[in-house]
Amino acid sequence: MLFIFLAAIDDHRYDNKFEEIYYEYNALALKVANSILDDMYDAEDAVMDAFFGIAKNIKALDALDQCKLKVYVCVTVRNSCINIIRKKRNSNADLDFFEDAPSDEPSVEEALISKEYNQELVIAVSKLPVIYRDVLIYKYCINLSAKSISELLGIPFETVRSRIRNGLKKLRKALDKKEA
Amino acid sequence: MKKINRKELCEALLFVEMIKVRRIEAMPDIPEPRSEKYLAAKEELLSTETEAPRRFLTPKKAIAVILVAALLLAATACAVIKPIREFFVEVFDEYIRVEPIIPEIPDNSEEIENPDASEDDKDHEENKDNAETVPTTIETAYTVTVPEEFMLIEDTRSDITTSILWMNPEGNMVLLQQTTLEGNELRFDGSNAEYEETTVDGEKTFKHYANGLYTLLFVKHGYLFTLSCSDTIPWETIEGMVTGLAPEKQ
Repeated sequence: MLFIFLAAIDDHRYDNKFEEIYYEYNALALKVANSILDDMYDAEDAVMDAFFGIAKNIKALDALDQCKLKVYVCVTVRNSCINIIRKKRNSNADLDFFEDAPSDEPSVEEALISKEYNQELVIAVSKLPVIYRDVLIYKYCINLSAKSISELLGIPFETVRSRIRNGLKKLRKALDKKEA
Repeated sequence: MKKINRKELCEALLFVEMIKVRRIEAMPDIPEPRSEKYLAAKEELLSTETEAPRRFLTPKKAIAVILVAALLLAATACAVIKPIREFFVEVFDEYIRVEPIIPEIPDNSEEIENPDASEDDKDHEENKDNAETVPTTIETAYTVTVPEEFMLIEDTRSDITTSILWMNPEGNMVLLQQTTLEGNELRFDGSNAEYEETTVDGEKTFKHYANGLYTLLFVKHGYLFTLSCSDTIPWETIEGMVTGLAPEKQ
């Protein structure tokens, strides 16, 4: 399977990097996809699509640390799942899976108790809809251009820009509401 | 309005995502499924790179089998056609053919034992003896005793026949003919005639009547006699004449 993805890489100097990512995060990607789609075959399709996207942007991933890389893989897989669901036009799909944490798991607020983060911002981000959050991750964590994001997500360039703009607006609004 | 720091935003985004990622990482691993895309690609790859399994019946084998079967059929055609033809002929004769019903003719090659055979054989033997002893010429001339009123009219004789004609004043006639059994031809007028077989003086006599005239035929003393009389003469008189048949006195 790996050789198919390697064939999609333009610059073969990054083949080893991609192999590391693939073997490191393949299982995690599969679990992310299966947790959203609840179908192993669809999950693997989503993972395959996600790794094709990763292979195309492997150059941008070279400088990322492990945490960002993991988040990037997960976000990419999640968006592949969303695309599969859109193709199937399954309105009952759990698109907001990441917003609904199980009760026995620690919430974002609980996780922040011992951390020195901007707590208000983290809470606002956690409540941000996933479609805005993903483009913000690509934009500000992975440093992808709007064009690359649009290619990666398979959505129009203008949509990417509007999602970034609206995502930031929503965050500011949430923070202003909290401050008030 | 609070300004959002890029670094803080990135950290917040990663923090939120990492919480969710860790939650997923805590889930048990799922077996790696083989999606339909992967299986289809695998099948395609295997089909092109591996040798196809040997099939029991290949086109070449099928052609070879057909050729051998054709040869065997041709070789046995003669042997097969003959019994088939006989079969159809038998079926035709048995169920289709119409034959006229012809009574069976008994085979005469074998002699059938007949209780009367001994008598017939005797007669045959006697006739044979007679034939052997039958005179071929008239050695002894015979005559009959006719009533007194009859007068001899004609008396014709030869080696093989005699003919004596009597007639009475009323015109009734009596004609006696004596011929040998061989070398003679006897003719009768059969039109409007009556025939009867009777016995006169112990001899089988053939009685013929036509045109008012009785004719009696009988064999006696090795000669054939024909006695013709008018029907006006009583039958008893005629019988008496036959009974009185005797050699002429010299």
